[in-house]
Amino acid sequence: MVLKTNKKAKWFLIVLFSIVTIAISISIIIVSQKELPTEDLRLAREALTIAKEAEANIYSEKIYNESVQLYDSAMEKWSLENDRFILVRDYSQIISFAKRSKKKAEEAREESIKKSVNLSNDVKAAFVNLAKKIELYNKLFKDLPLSKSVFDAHNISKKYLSESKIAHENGKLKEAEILFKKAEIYVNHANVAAAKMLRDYFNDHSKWSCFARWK
Amino acid sequence: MKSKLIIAIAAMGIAVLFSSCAKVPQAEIDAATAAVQEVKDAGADLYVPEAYAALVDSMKSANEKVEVAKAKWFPNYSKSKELLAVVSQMAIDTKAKSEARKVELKAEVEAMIVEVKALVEENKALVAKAPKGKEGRAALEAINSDIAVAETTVTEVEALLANGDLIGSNDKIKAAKEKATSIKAELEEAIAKKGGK
Repeated sequence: MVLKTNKKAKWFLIVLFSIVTIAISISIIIVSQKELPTEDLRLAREALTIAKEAEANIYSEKIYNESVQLYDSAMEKWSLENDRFILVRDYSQIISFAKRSKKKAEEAREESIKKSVNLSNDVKAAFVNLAKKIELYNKLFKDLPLSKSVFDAHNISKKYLSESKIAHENGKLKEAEILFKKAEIYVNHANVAAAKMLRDYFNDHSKWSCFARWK
Repeated sequence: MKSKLIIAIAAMGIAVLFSSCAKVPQAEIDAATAAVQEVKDAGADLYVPEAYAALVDSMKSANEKVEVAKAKWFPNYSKSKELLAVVSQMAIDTKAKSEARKVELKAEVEAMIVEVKALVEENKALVAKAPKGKEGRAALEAINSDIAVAETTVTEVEALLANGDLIGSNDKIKAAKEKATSIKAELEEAIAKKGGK
């Protein structure tokens, strides 16, 4: 009787052990079949770094930020998935986020390069245009008895133009553009005010001549 | 035989239990994240952008390593911990580099302020010697106003420097120096011409 019970227990343990072993093996197979998002995330991270090197965070801010958000979402989702039971984890969405992040980062990089080249050309063209306006002032209005505000506006515009050129030389194109626009506002103000003064003078010229003759 | 089998299963169970209980190195992650933030707050992204970008990339890589370990049956965070320690050390180095660059930049700006002030004084002295003909007077007025702008820029730069805006002050003082130098050249040329006549 005791021998029969021992035999039963022995068989029970063997069956139990076999079930556990099979279950573990199947689980290992299932887990090893799952594709981890490691490589996709690494590629996305590298694409983001390259995009930032191309200053995509400045010249293609929207697309770059979208890429960063997608990468962050992927990391957050990965962490959440890893908190779930190993057999029910699903990395497909994480891989999708990482792939989209990489694509966006590449797009941002390309757009950034294009925009920075265009901006550099625009700013260069604008420098020429602004230099012409300053030259116009020097040619026509410099010797006139202008008000201090006009005089100052002209000088401030030259200062901003000079700062803009330095920013452009240092590759800070956005900053160069901002400074250039400031310079343009001041030079326009100076030229318009000086031209108005000159126009007013000639509009009233007949009156002045009349007064002079009358005296 | 039976007891040996039971002991083996129990040992395996305990081993599984212990290895799956390896905790995420949250303290190390938090410390590294705080260190990276501290470096950003110190302005490293402005003063040493390359080093800061490398630091951020390493932090992201460390976070990925943590998740890779977490995704395994038996997580082992020793490599993640090592990487997080490297990130923390990198943060200290980057902060030091940033502080050094700040000191360097401040010294550069201060030196340039002195140079521009000296140039302004030299230019004022040269204006007194410059030819004052009919056309010369108008040109001198323009030069005087340029000198005044350079002086104003120096004041602006000093204010920016006092507010800790080293990059802004550096760009402005460079422009002022360039302007003051060109005025000096212009005046010296005019004086030389006058002397030649």
